[in-house]
This record gives sequence, structure tokens and C-alpha cells, in this order.
Amino acid sequence: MILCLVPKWTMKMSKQQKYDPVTIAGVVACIAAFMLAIWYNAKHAPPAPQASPPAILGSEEGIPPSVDSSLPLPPTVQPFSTGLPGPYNPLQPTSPPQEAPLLIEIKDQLQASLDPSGGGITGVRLEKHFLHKGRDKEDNGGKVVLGHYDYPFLTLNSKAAGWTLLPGQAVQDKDSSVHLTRASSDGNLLVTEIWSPVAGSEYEFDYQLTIKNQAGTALSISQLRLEAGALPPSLSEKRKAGMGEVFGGISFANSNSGKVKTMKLKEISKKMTAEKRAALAVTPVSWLAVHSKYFLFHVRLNNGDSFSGLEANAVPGMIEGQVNSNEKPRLQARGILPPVNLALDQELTWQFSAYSGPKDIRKLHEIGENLDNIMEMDRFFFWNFSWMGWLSRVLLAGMVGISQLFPPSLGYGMGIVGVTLVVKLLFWPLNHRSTVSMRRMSALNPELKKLREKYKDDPQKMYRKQQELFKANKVSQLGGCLPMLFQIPVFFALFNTFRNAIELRQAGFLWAVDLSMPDDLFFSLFGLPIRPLALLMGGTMYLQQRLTPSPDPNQAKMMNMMSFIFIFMFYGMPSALTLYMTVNQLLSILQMQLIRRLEDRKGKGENAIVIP
Amino acid sequence: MNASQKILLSLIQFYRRWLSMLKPNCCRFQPSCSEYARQALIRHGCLRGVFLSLWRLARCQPFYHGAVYDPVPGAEMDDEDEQTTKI
Repeated sequence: MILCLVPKWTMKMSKQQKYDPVTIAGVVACIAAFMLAIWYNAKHAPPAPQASPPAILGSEEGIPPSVDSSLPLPPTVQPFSTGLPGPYNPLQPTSPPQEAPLLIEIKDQLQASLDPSGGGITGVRLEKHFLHKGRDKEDNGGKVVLGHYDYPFLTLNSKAAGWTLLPGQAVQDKDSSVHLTRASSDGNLLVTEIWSPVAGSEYEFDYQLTIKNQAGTALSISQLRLEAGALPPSLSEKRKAGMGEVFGGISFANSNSGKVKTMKLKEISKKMTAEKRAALAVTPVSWLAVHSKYFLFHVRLNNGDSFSGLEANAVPGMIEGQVNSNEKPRLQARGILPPVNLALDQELTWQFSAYSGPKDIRKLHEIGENLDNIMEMDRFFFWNFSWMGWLSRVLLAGMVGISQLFPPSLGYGMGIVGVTLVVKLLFWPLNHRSTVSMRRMSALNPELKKLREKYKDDPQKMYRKQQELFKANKVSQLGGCLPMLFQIPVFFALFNTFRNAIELRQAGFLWAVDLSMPDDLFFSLFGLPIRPLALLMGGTMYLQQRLTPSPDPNQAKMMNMMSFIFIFMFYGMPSALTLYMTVNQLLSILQMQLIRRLEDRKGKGENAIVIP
Repeated sequence: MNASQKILLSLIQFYRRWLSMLKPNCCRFQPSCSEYARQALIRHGCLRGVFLSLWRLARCQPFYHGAVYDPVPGAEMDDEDEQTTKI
């Protein structure tokens, strides 16, 4: 809010072209308000409670609990345990499992818990990821667990189709795959599910679902759903969405157009309408993904099949493994399986591929079908371009490569420094030439002015004379605005990479504990966190502007203002970004000083203006 | 001056005030591309102004071999005043 106001307000100020007492007071007020906002946030870390039980959550946010357009039923919550077919309530949680879970393990990567009686995957523990990282090494919150039994992952939800499945008894094979056969309460439908880890993969599962008609007549089944899991926007309470940042979402690929769409929390909760739900329920989808800032559940229907629609819900929030109604809602999705007609004793099998793990862009890219789009690495202003995603991946690979040359305590920080350096070097010739030619050009300005005065009435001659002047002074026009425009995508890609890369999650660097979070020091000033990298960034920016000769003193003042505004803008951002900005700024200063040196050395005597 | 002209001009003004400082000076022409765009918008209106500005941007690269001094068409004589008036 404050951030929005600052540029506008300063724009107005620029018209006055002066720093009168009022504007200074304004700046002070702005800074004070900003600090107050941070202090307030720190004091009130958990947001004001807005307790709401699951069933109320739906109606509170304008979602009719019964949303399936084919089943316009009153919003009553049917207890799960009765086993009676009741109205379908998408927000109704699954009850806790009664037996000890079966465990599917992928060595050193994950351990998935499966409800043996038919609750699907109730949790995936990632062995290599911890909830948070503080200065105290012991305080890591334990390993990351994705999902919870209330909204499980990878199981059939037959409630909307009007079937109730009786609990079954799963058996586990030697290769740790799990088989489960369940019958419907009337015995007409037999459902067989097989979960198995994909050999050689790190986070992937295969899931097979077979339905068999035992009714003695032909059956027509629709509205069967596949649970795609639920995730909070952020798993750790220490990571609150920063300024302008929204974590995670529900993404799906339209199987007709191949386009990937991501719905953010707001779109799923506050902005969701019955019409939108109905539209989603008939959108053909080849895969869907439920993701938090750094982790995801993904399920894809294989063999050319696609879901006939999807269901996106906001269910009660969860933080650090505990359902917590004070928290932001979790994102929860289900895929709607295409309607089928089963003849007598006919069987039908669907094959699914699933992924539950970190949002590692290389792994998502390997899975293909544009799954890596969910990371928004291809973001360019308001648009997405696949070449931007490519660029981000190249930069990320560079960063990872460089980081491996250093000890782990410095690794990714040095990776950021290294990538920034490489990008700067790549653009060096471009910037060097244009800077040199601009410097010479500005030296010629008085001469140009004279020429224009002299040949006021003969523009043709004036151009000729000007060209001669440029030639004589070796002003070659090697620069240009167009090459400069080419640099913008690269900086965007860097920005995207440093903002989203899971590699930076909990990667320490110097005093920064976690490069994906602001680099708070261990002490704070009156509740205001001290973030040296953000302050350093502002400092280097200020320095750079001081060193750049500006023809207009007001312009120079505005530039100094800009460094203040940048501190505000980046104070809540990941320290990876502020580190990048600082290094980039320092390198710019270095380049400018070098050019100045070179030109001065070359130019002793011969830099004088030659008049043809 | 109509509304769309004003919007575009304010965008240019925003760029010149806030964004141009984030990059080194790079234009190979005089007046610079942003100043050219400003003058073109004022002098030729939205449609032609935008077209002229885009054409100018396209030429602003090392492979173009035109003159450095490249005023907006029709502004050859009196751009001196316009250049010195800052927004």
C-alpha cells in the first residue's frame, strides 16, 4: 500500500523540482510508516484469527458447499463414517485412518504413507527437505511432509458419483507397490488401485485405477474423482508471503489447447463463483498440480486419456502439519474422470503418473507437458514466453554449476555472484561501446550546438557538417537502444530464477541464513529487522548514481530518491534478489570507473575536439 | 492534446524519470529515442507518433548507418527549443 503511493507521490514532487520542507517531511513520514508496517507485521506474526470450521469456510467465501452443477443439493455435511451415499460436499474431509499406514519408500528421497483401508496417500515425507532453517541448527521443524489424511493424494473419490466404497485391506508387494481392492456398498462396482514407486526416480509414483462392473447389467458411471492432494501456500509458518508475492496455486494443462493455467489462492477462494466452478468441471485436463511455494503434488492421466474436468477448493489451512483455521486456506484439487459406460463384467483401467516433491525446474522439465510452467520462470512483465523459461533454466544451470565450485556454506551465494558476473561480462562489450561513444558525444555537444546555430537555414549542410565532426572525432555509433532492450529479458530471467529456485531454499551465505528469505540479522532494532543486503543494495545504488555524471541536478536528486525507494521495495524480498542487485550494482560501478580510467589514459591530449 | 496522447506521454515521462536511470545511456541518435518519441507524439499524434517511435527504436542499433542527428520529421528546424524544455 505504502509502496504504491511512494512513486506517485515522488512524481508529483518532481514537478516542484525542489526539496521544500513539506516534501522532506513527506519522505520522513513515508519511512516512518514503512517501519511501522514492518514492526506491526513482526509483532502480529500470526494473522488475526478468523476461525471457521470446514463447512462454514465454503459459505463464508461465497462458495456454495454443494458446487457440482449436476448435483444441486443442500449444503449439509454428511458424516463420513455412516457409509451411506449422501450429497456430495467437496469440502468434506476424509476421516483419520484406523490402521497403521503402509509405507512406500524411495530410498533417501521420500517415504509415502498409505491408508491400507482406502484413504490414499496420507502424507509424503521428503527425506532431504526440512521445514525451516534458523540460526539454531536443531530448530529445523523436522522433515517436510506433504499432504494430510483429511484431503489425501491419489485415491478414488466416488462420493460425487453416488457410490460408497467399503473399506478394503491393502497388500504390499516385495517391490513395495501396494494393491487395494474395494467393493461398493451394493457390491455392483469393484475398484482396484495399485500404487508403486517409479524405479530409478526420486519423487515419482505410478498409480493404476481399475473399475469393474459386477452389477449384472450395464452401468453408466460419471463424476468419479481422483484426489490430487492439498497443500498450504507455504509449509512453514516462518515464511509469510512477502510484498506482492503469492505462493503456489493449482495448475492444470488444458488437453485441447495444451495451455497451462495457474489459479492462485485468491482465485480459488474469494473470486471463485459457481459459474467458474461449473466451467472448470467441464474443462478437459491432461494433468493437474497442487503446489505451494516450493513443493507440489502432480498427477497426469496417461495413454492419451484426459480428465473431463477438475475441482479446485480452498480447504481449512494447515501449518507445519497441523490443521489450523487461523491459517490461510490450503489449495485442494480433484480431477474428474471421464464418464464411462461399462458393459456386463467389463473392466476399465486408467494409468496415472504422479510426482510429489520439490519444485525443481529440471525435474519438472523432464516430466514434460509444460509442467515447468507452474514455476513461472517464463514470466516477462505480464506475459509468459517459453524462451524465457529456457533462459531461466540456462541461468539456473549456470548458478548450480558455479555453486559446486565452492564449499556448501558459500555455494549458492557464490553461484548468484558468479552468474551476475558472467551476465555482466557478456554484456560488457555492448555497454562499454555505448558508454564510450556517449562520453565522446557529450564532449561534442557544444560544437554541435554551434553548428546548429551556424547552419540554421540549411539543414542539409548542417547534417553534413555534423557527420564530418563525428567522423573526425571517431564517434562511432556502436551503441543503440535496441541492443539494450535485449538485456531486459535476461534480467527478468535472473529475477525469476532467484525468486523461484528451490536450490536457494535454506541455502546459507555469509550472514544470510536462507537465501530464499530476507537476510535478517540475529538482532533487531525496536522490532524492525535489520537486513544488511537490502541496505547495501540501496547504498551501492546511491553510490553508482553519485558517480554517474548527470547533466540535470534535479534528475540526480530523483535518482537518489530512487535508491531509497528500492530499499523499501526489496526489504521484504528474498535475500538472493538483494544479493544479486548489490553485486550487479558494484559491477556497474567497477565498469564505469574502468571506462573512465581507460578513456582518460588514452585521451591525454588527443581527446581534444577536432574541428574539421 | 487528447487523452491517449497524454497517457502515452506520461508513460514516456515515467520511463525517463524512473527507468532510464537503471541502464547506461545507450542511444546512438540525437535527440535520444525517448525524447524523439515525446516529440513525435506531440507533433504527429498517437498513431503516427507511435509508429515513428517504433521505427526509430528499430534503427537504434549498431548496424544502422544513418546520421547521428535524427530529428522527428517536421521538427528539424525548431527542435532546439523542444530539447531544452524539460518535462
